[in-house]
Amino acid sequence: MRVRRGDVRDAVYEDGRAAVYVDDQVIVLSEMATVILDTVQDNGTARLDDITQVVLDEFGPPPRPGDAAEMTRNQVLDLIAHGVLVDDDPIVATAPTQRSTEALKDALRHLRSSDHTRWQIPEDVTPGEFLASGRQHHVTSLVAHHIDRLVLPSDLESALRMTTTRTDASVRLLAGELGRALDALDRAGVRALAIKGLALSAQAYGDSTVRGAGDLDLVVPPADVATAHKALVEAGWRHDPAHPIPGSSWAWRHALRTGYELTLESDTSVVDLHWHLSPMKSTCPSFDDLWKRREVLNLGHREVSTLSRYDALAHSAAHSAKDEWRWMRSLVDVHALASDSRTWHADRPLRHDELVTLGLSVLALGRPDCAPPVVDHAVRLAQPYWDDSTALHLHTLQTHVSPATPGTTLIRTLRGSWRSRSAITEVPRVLSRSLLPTWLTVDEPSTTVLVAAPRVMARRIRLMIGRLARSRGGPQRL
Amino acid sequence: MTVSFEPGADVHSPDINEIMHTLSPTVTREVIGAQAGRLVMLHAAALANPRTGAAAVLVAPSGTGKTTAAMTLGRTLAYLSDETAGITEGGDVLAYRKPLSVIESPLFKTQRAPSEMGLITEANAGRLAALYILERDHEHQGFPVVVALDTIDALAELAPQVSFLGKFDRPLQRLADLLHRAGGAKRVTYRDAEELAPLLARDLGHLTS
Repeated sequence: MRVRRGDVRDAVYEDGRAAVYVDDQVIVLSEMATVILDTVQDNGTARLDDITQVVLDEFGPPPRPGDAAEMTRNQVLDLIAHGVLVDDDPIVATAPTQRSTEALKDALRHLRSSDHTRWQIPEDVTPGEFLASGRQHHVTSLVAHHIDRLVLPSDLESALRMTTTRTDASVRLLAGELGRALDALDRAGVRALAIKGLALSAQAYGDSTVRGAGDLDLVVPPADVATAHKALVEAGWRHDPAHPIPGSSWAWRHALRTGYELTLESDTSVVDLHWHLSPMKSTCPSFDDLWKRREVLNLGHREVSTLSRYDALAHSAAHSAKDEWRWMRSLVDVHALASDSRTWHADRPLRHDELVTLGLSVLALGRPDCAPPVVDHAVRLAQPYWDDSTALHLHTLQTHVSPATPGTTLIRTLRGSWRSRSAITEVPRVLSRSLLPTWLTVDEPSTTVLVAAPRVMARRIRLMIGRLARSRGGPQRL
Repeated sequence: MTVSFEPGADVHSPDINEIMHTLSPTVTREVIGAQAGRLVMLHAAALANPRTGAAAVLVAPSGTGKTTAAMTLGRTLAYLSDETAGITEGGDVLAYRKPLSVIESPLFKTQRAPSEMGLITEANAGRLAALYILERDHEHQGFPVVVALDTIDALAELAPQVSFLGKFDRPLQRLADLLHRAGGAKRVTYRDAEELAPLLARDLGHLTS
């Protein structure tokens, strides 16, 4: 391993220690870290072995059982994670392979177990492939947080530590944004539950940074969506132009009736504002029921309401099923919640799709000690889905791409509604959303369905004809 | 910047209390932005001995006692700020006498003029003589506990409380120079703001000749 200096803009020394200014942060270095930094010249590089020798010369060998090479390596990796040093030959995520995805799943199974030995990456998996599989399944941050339970090459460990440092900074920022959004909703008199993301991470893993940073997901009562939208816009989030503006238009009513979320963006965060937990509304508890059962977390020095653990388990499981269990992160989430005895205060049975997810998570990651007998029933239900989901784990992309073939999304949605045993009344709503998608209704000002729906339908037909013509290589007329 | 009861202005609300609640921090942000890279702007209250001009900067994050300390001590010392201490390269602490934000309702902080609160508002600047990092502890018993910090540790504690630190060419050198002028930073653990008065009197000199 060879390192060079990071973007150290300024340094102050005092009694063998230094404070350095890197990435807009002041980092205080220990005496050993200061020696290591000084070993790396401004425009040069230094090998880990040479740095270790300098440290040995300066401080002598550590007391037994300390190992100078290991201590120096850890210190160097820490300096890399904070940007003080830079790995001169960093690993780059290549492409995941079958072996690297299998190794990742093996590592996750180890991390979810009570086995306190350190898991070792197989020799036939390169660091770049392992990193790629971690990203593919959105678990890089989770793996990075448990690095002390893994034996990994220095360059992979360095990449994972950098992930942790970046994630921690992003999560701090997001926690502030979450507080700001909740304050705005509080002032507007709107109750809100934070779901997924930081809240789920804190609830399932006891640490808001484990799942990584992403969007902020908030659930509000369906009757308060317009008020919540206004409050968030006034607080600096921007309206999504692909969604109708709240008001009296048919388009807004249609979006509320057929959809379950809208997105608002600011320069620093994205808020997904939900008024139901999932598109299959008949299968979700009401907001009032979720609110009654809510759990209050402390996030970023602020109290934040989130789902009860059992509701979070059900929601995460349903979400995973909606995505056809393609990413390991959601299975790990469900496993973490299922492994917590506090979760099992069941006020209703889990749905079929939720049970299948639970079963798949147990098949993939092991049976939690505290889990009730329903877990064994879930495993039996999941068996028929195991081969398909395992195959999908190998080939799925990091981000799901909607299929281009017309009607595929509709068929998948209807299949999902069957898996979740949704009420038959969902079918007209799903069809209505598919025929009159929200993004096509944005410019429709009419307040009545009789005027608006035919116009949107006409636009839809024109678009379909245009798409058909393009697929046949004909003239493009819209 | 525009202010209005109607939507569309930078600061707007049908409620004057909400406008005032929003306006003061908005102006502060603008002021801080305008001085980025010129003044070291610490998230701090600042007070000065009106006779000698020796100034103390009391650094603390939001909600941890800056305004209370400024209101309590600013009746005998000159009030310079309860929010932002802007310090020049030469060590002058410039006054930023914004209205004081007082919690009088559950919705909004009320903005009170310093003179209305009985504070001494004659001084426009002071000379940096002491720098404290405040830690208010409601359980603390007895006299305030004062701990002198090493420069390195003080830099790490102060940096998050400095606006636009990265705008300086040598941010740490600039902060270290400021610490040198203040005779180092001291962490003060205390319970009530009036307990700080003897400490400031010792470090800033007597109020009468």
